Order: sequence, then C-alpha cells, then structure tokens
Amino acid sequence: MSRLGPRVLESLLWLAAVLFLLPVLWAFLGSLKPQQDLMLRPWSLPLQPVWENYRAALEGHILRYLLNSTLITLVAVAAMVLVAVPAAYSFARMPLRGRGLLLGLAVSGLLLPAHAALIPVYELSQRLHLTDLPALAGPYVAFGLPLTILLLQAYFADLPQELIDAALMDGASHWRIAWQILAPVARPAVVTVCIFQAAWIWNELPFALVLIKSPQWQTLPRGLISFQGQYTAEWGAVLAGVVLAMLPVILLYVVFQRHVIRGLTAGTVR
Amino acid sequence: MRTAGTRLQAYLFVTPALVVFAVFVLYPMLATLVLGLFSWKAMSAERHWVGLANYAELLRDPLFFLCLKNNGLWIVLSLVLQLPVALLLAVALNSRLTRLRALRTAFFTPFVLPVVAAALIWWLILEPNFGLANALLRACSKGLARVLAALGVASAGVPSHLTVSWLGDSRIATVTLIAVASWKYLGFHTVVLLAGLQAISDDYYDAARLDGATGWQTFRHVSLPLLRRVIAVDALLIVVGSVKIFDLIWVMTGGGPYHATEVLATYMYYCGFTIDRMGYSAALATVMVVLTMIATVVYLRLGSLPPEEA
Repeated sequence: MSRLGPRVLESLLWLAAVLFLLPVLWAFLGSLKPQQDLMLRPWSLPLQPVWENYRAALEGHILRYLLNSTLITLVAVAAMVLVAVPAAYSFARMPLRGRGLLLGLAVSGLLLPAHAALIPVYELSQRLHLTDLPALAGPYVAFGLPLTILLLQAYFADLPQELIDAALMDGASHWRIAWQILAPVARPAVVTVCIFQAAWIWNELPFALVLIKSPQWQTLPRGLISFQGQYTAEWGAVLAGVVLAMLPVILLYVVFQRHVIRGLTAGTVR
Repeated sequence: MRTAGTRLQAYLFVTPALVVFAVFVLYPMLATLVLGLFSWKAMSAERHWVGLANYAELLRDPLFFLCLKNNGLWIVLSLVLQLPVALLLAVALNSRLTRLRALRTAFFTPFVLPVVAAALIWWLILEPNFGLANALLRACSKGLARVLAALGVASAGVPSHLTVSWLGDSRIATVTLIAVASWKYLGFHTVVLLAGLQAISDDYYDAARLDGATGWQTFRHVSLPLLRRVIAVDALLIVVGSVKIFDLIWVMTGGGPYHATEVLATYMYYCGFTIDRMGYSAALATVMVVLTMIATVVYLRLGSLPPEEA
C-alpha cells in the first residue's frame, strides 16, 4: 500500500494535468480543423489539417499585433530598468533624505489598479495629442516602477558594503557603481522583475483600450478583441489567432521555465 | 563620504523615476479623487462641480450594488475554489522528483497564457450551441438516458437536448467567469504555496517523523502553521485580484447579459468610456482605489516586505 499510494497519486495528478490543459490542446487542434468539423464534431481530431484558418488569422493582422506588443514591451521594460536601477541604488545605498516618504509612495503604487489612473491618463494623452504606443509607454513604465524599485533596492541593500567601498576607493562614480557593479550582481533580480513587468504589459488591456486609436497600432490583447468581433462566426480563424498569440509565450515558458515561474510570482515570495 | 554632493546625487538618481511615477500614477490617482466631484463629458471642456452628488448617486444606483455583490462573489468563490485546491496540489507536488516538477510546469501553464487568448478559448468552449462544454453535457445526458433505458427505468426526466447558456444566463454567468479565472490562476497560487512549503526546513519534518507523526498530522501541525503567512499573502492577492478583475469579463461577457456580470472595473469603464459619464466613472474608480489601499495596508501588516519598508 505504501508503495502503491504515491503511484496512484501521481497517476491521478497526471490525469488532472491533462484535463487541465485540455482547453489549450483543443485550441491547437481546433485551429487545424475546417469550420464544419470544428462546430459539428467538436471531439474529432484534425486528421487532415487545414491551414486556411491561419491564412485568415494572418490576414487579420495578427503578426502586426504581435510585433506591436513586442515593441512596446521591449521599450517600456528597457526604459523602466533605466530609471529604476539608479533609483533603487539611491534608495539602498545613498544618503537619500525623505527616503521613508518615497518608499511609502512606491508601496502605495504596488497594488493600485490601472482604473485608478485611466481617466486622467486618457485626458493627459488627449491634451498632448499622444495616442497609440507612445501614449502607452508612460503608464506602462510608471505602473511597473513600484515593484521594480522595491525589489531591486531590497536586493541592493543586501549586498556587502565592501563591494561599494572598494569601487569608491578606486575613484568610481556612484553612477558607474550602480550600473557596472551592483546591477550585474543583481542580475537574477533584474531578470525576475523584467519578466514580471513584460508579462503585465503583454496582457494589459484597460490602457490599451482607451489610448490606442489606430487599428494598425493595436497591441495583442486589443487586436485579439478586434479579431473576436471580426470573425465571430469563424471559430477556426479565432483559434488560429489565439494559437499564434500563445505560441511565443509558450515557447519562452518551455525554454526559460524556472525564470518565468520565478518572474511571474515576483513580489509574493521573496 | 556623505558630502553635500552625494546628497544631491542621491536625489538626481531618483528624479527620473519619481517624475514618471508622479505624472502617470500619483497625479492621475489624485486627479481621479478630485474628478469624482465633477460632472462632465470627455469631449467638452465644460465641467460642473457637483460635490458629493456622484457618490450620493452611487448609493442609489442598483448597478453599483450589483457590482459590489459581484466583486464580493468573486472574492469569496475565488478563495473557496482556488486556495484549498492550490494547497492540496502544492502538498502533492512538494517533492524533489523531476517528474513532479513537470507537473508543476503543466499546472502553471494557464497562468502563462495571454489573458485575452485564454478568455477567447473559453468563450468558444462555452458557446451554447456548438461549444465543447455543452457537447460534453449532451453526451453525458445521452449516456445517462441509455443507461436508464437499459435498466428499464423511465428516462423521461433526462433532457436529451441539454443546453446551458454558460455566459448568457444571468444567474450563472458570473459563476462561470469565476470558474474560468480559477482555471487560469490555480497554477499561480499552487506555485506560491509550493515555494512556501519548500522554504520549510527539513529539520521540522525530521522531528515530526521521530515523534511518529502521520502524514496528516505532519501537515496539520508542522506545514500549516509555518505556512500561515504565505497563505495569508496569497489569499490577499486573490482578494486584490478579485477587486481589480476586468480583462476576463470584458472579453467573455462585456459585463452582460444586461449588466449581470458587471464588476467595479467594468462598470467604471462602461460609465466613463461607453456612456461618457466621466465624473461618475471617476467616483467608481475612487471606490476601487480605497478598496485596494485597504488591501495594501493589510499586505504591509502581513510583513511580506522587508521590515524597514513596512
């Protein structure tokens, strides 16, 4: 019994996992089936896979949306790291007066919903005539800053003082120390927060809904919703779009599993 | 080393971050609080000071209370559906076996998927006429009828064309959405609790084994007490997530049918950007801010951040 127990448990867990992933599997298989099979024979396998759904998805500009999302994600995450690293260094390692207040500000932004800022940010962009991706960059960077700064400054604060003292002796500036000594040492933390923020931006919807005006600049979440409206009756096309949207994320997840899991749970477990 | 120069530098280092944060988070949040006291339309410059009238209206608005009720349902059902199962899974997966790590990967997958993509898959699965969910139901009821017939029992009570309108029936739509969200987020909570379990030193388990504790006793008296803080933080994240929930609802029901699945976030969006009542929308956003701020205070109390920041 004691030898059988774990075996049974493991089999049950595998069964549960397969059932759990069934919707994703169904989407993959469904994207290869002709419309009629998809609707009338929901359980059938795509024995003769068809690619017309993917042609429809590509005509629906899904690649363009992927590209837009990649672009805004890379730019916003890079900009965020650029402003967060010096700030975190200052918090952790420099005589910063009013540090408590500033940390309080960062903490207050941690759990804030985008909806809290939606109307004023919308107005601000209207007034500045900013739309599409340039309008998204500001809020995307800003909403990522609190967690990024808090995590990085905690990491920086734990590093030994000798690391900094030695560099100061050698005449290095604080700017150089922050970027060339502490940031590389803190790389695991930097990677973790970057993944977390990239995932947030990749999925962000409310800001994308109100700030994007041009159809060709839609991010992936926005684009998929347009897709849903456009191809309501064409399930195959919707599923092909969904699969193309999932594919890069799943590939990254499979390759960088550990990092992804650690990154996405950042801020809960230190 | 603490010269005036370094002091100034310390400020310069935080300035860019502070400016971005001030412009896109702090100012908008404060502006939202103020804007809730006005009445205006997005495209016009005309703004009327209405004092607390928006809030007074909220208290008379049945839809606002429906939102609160739905957000409450999201909180309670998400906690009930996700926490115990996540804890169970975490305990089952808490092993150094590589095979089990593959299982962890599998359960975490829905969380990795883009929210809108996952929502669209479920939107199709739950479609009443051709969706997988009802196909499954029909197959089950057909099977049941066949079994009953074979047993010689009247099968009149078994509907042959069972069609549940998962997202279209206002009585069950919110519950359906919460179930989908639970599928999406279960893996996340499992991993959080699993990390908590793995942080517990083996010494405790060795001691329990020496005392002859059973598996259940070890879980009940060793793991659970040591996991209390992690469980509390995780529960809080579920609560905050349920207060903020937007995307899934927006894609799958848009707050409908007839506002039945509306929550604070979707109703706020609807008031502001669909029917152009910006002031009222800002008042709703303020309610969300207050709720998440309360959650933040609790979060800090739980000590999930280093003590110096709390």
